[in-house]
Amino acid sequence: MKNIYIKDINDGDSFSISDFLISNIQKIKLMEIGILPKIKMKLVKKSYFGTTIIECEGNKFALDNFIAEKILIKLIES
Amino acid sequence: MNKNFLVGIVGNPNVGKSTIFNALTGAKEKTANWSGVTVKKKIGYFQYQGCNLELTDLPGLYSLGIAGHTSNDQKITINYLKKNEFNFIINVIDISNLKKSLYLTLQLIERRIPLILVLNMKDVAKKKGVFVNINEISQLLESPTVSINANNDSDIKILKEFLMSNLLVKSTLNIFDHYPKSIRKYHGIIKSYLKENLIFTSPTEIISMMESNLTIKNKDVYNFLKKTAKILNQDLRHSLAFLLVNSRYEFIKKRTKNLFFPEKKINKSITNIIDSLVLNKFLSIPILVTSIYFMFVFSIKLGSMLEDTLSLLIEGILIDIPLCILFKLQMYQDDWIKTGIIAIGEATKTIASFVPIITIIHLFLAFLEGSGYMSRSAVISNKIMKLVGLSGRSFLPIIVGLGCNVPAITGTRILSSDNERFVTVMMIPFISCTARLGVYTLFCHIFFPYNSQNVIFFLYTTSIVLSLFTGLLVRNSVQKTEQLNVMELPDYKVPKLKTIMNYSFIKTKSFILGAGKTIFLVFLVVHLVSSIKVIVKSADETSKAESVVNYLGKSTIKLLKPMGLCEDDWPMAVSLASGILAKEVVVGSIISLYSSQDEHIAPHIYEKISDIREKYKKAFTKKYHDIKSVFTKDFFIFEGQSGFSHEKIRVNSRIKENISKSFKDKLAVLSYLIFVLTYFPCVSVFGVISNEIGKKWAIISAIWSTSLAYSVSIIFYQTASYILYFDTNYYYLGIGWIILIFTAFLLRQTSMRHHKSISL
Repeated sequence: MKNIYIKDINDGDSFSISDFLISNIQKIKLMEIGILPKIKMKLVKKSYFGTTIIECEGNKFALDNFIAEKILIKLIES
Repeated sequence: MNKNFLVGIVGNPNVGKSTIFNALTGAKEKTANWSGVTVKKKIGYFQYQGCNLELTDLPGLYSLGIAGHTSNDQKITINYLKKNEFNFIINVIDISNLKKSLYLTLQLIERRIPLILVLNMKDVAKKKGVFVNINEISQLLESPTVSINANNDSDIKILKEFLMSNLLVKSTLNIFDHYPKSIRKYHGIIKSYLKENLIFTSPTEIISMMESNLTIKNKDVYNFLKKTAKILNQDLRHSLAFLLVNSRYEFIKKRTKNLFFPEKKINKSITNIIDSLVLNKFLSIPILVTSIYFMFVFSIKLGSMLEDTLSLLIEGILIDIPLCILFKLQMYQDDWIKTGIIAIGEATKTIASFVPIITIIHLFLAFLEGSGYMSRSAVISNKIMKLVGLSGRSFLPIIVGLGCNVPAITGTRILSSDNERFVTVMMIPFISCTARLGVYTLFCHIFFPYNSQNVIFFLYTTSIVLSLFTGLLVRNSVQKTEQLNVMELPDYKVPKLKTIMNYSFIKTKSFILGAGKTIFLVFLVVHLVSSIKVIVKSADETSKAESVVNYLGKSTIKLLKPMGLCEDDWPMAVSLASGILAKEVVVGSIISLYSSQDEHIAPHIYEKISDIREKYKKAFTKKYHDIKSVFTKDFFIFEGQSGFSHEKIRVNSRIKENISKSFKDKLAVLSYLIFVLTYFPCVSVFGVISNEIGKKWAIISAIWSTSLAYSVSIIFYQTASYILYFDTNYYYLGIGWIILIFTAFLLRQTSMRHHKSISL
C-alpha cells in the first residue's frame, strides 16, 4: 500500500505511521511519548485550530499541523 | 541502620505524583488533570515506624531527554537524578496506561537507579477493565512494586508500610541483557573504553553519552564517541539514541504482552462524547467563552450573596460591639481609640468581603483543571495563540494567571522553547488576577450594582486583548522555529470534591494571609502617614497645614486628568502609587483615605446594645429574603434590583458613599479600572519576571505596562466621551495615541534586537 499523508484521510480513519519526515530529535521525541511507527492509530480530527488530533493506544494527542503534515502514513482498512 | 532517607518522586505527567506526595507528607500542593501542574521541586517530610523520609516531588516527564532538548521544568527532574543525592526513587506509574509509563521506568533502570514502583490509579484501571499482574512486573523489572489508588486513605497506609519494608532497595537488573545485540555491543564498547582509560563514570553518565545528553569535556572521549557513533551509523543506519528508543519499546512490547489484559471502552466513550461537543469546530469557542463567562456570573452572584453577610458579621464584631463598649465606658469622645477601632474594623471587613468571590473563582478554576478541560482549551486557543507566534500550550499558564500571575509566570517552564517562554512571560502581567478582582468588586458594587458581572467580564476581555497586543509586539516574526508541539488530552474525570475544596482553601488562605495582610498593613501605614502634616501655600498666599498624602495626591492627580479623574479624586492617585506594592493594596489605600474623610459617625446607635441587635436582625432578615428570592425567581436578576442594595451600602459602609461621590461619571470609573488592570505589575510579579527572563525585561515590562495603562485609559475615556456625549479633548486624545504608538514602537524594536541577539 502506498504512503500518504494525514491530510489525505478522513476523521475516524485508522492508520499507521510509516515514516517521519522530521528531524531525528523531533522523531525521537514523538516516539518517546508513544507516537510510534507501525502501530494502529485513529485520526480524531484533522486541521482543528491548527492542530491534528490523533488517538494512539488509548491516548489522545494534539499535534501541531506542521508536524502532522510531515508524517507519512498507511491507511488501515477497517 | 540509617533512619533518614532521601526519596524522589518521578513519573510521567498527570499520573498522580503530587497526590501521593500530599497524601504521604500531609502537604497541600496543587493537583490537577493536565500535564505541567508541577513546575518546580517541592520538598515534604514524613515519619513512619521511626524512619524519617524527605520526599521531593518532581515535575513530570515522559523521558529523560534527547540531545539536551527538554523544557525547563523537566530539566529540574533530570538534574535531580544526575546529582544522585537520594536513597531511592518512587516511580509513579499510571496503571491504566502502563505501556507508556514503562518507557521512563526503563530509562531509570538503565541508569541503575534504585526504584520502588508505585502503580497508581488502580480504580481507573478497574473501570477500564485493565488487569495487571503486579508480581510478574516486580520480578521482570527486579523492583518492589505496589498497586494503589492514591485518593484512598487505606491504600496510602499500605504504601507507607510497603515503603518501610523496602527502604534498602537496590537495583540489580542489567536491562541491557534484554536489549538487542547491537545495543549491548555498543554499550559494552563504550563502557570498556572508559574503564580502560580510567575514566570513572556512573551508569547515568554512560547512558547520557549514548543519548547525546551529556556535554563531554574530555577531548579523547569526545573523539572516541564521535568515531563510535559514525561506525554505528554505517553499521545499523540509525543513531544510537534512536536504537535505544526502539529497544525500550521492543522490550515493553514483548515482555509485557502477558502482564495485562486490554482495556474496555467504557471510560473512553464518555470522553469521546464530551469531546464531540467541546471540540466541535463550531461549538468549541462558544463553549470556552461561555464557561469563562459563567465562571464570573456564578462567582459574583454567589459571592456577593455571602459577601454582605460576612461584612456585616465583621462590622458587628470589630466595629459596632467595640464602639458600643467604648460608649458604655464613656470613652466615645476619644478620637484616637475610635479611629483605631474603625480603621481595623474597616480593613478587616474589606478583606473579608473579597473572600467569598475569590473562593468561588478558585473553586471553578480547580474544577476546570481537575476535569481535563484545560488541555482542550489549550488546543482550542491554539489558532489565536499562533497569531502571536505561540502554541496552544502557552494558554495553560495564561489561564493560571487568572488566579495569580506569579505561579503563572513560573508555570511557563513547561514550554520548551525559550522564545515561546519569553513572549508568554511578557503577556502574563496583563492577565487580570484575583487581586485585581478585589478592586473591580469594590467599584462595581458602588457604581455598577446592576451589571457587575458584565463590567468584570469586559475588564477580563480587555486584559486578554492587551495581553495579545503585547504578544504581537514582542514575538519573533523574523525567525520562525518549528517547535515540536504535542499536547496530550487526558480522559475526563469528575474532580474529587476534596481536591477542589483543598485547592480553593489554599488559594483563599494565601489571599487572606498574603494579600490580606498587605492590605491591612498598608491600610494602617496610609492612615499613619495621613496624619503627617506639611505647610503649603494656597493661591491667596496664606499658609495652611495639609496632610502629606493629600499634598502628594493633589500634586499627581493632574497627570490623571486626561483619563477622566478630577481634583477631588486625589485619593485614587495615592492608591495607584501604593498599588505598586501589590494590586490588592489599591483597595486598602482607598478605604483608608476615604475613611479619613469620614468625619461624622453617629453615636446614637451605640447607646443601646438592643439597637445594634435590631440593626443586624433587620439586615439578616432582608439578606435571607434576598437569597431566597435568588433561588425562587430569576437567577440572573442581580442584587440591587431587589432595591436592597443601596440601603445595604448605607448600612454597611459610609466609605462607599464617599467614593461614589468622587468620580464625575461612570466612564471615569471604567477608565480608572482599566488603568488598575494594566499598570505596573506588582512587586512579586516584577521579581518573578526578573528571575525567569532577566532584570532588563522586568524593567521593560513595568515601563511598558504603565505607559500602556496610561495611554489606553486616556484613549478609552476620550473616545467614549465623544461617542456618548459628543464631548472630547482632542489634545488629550492625541497625547494618548502618541504615547501608545511611541512606546509600542520602542518595545517592538527592543524585542527584535533581543531575538536577533539570541539567534546569533
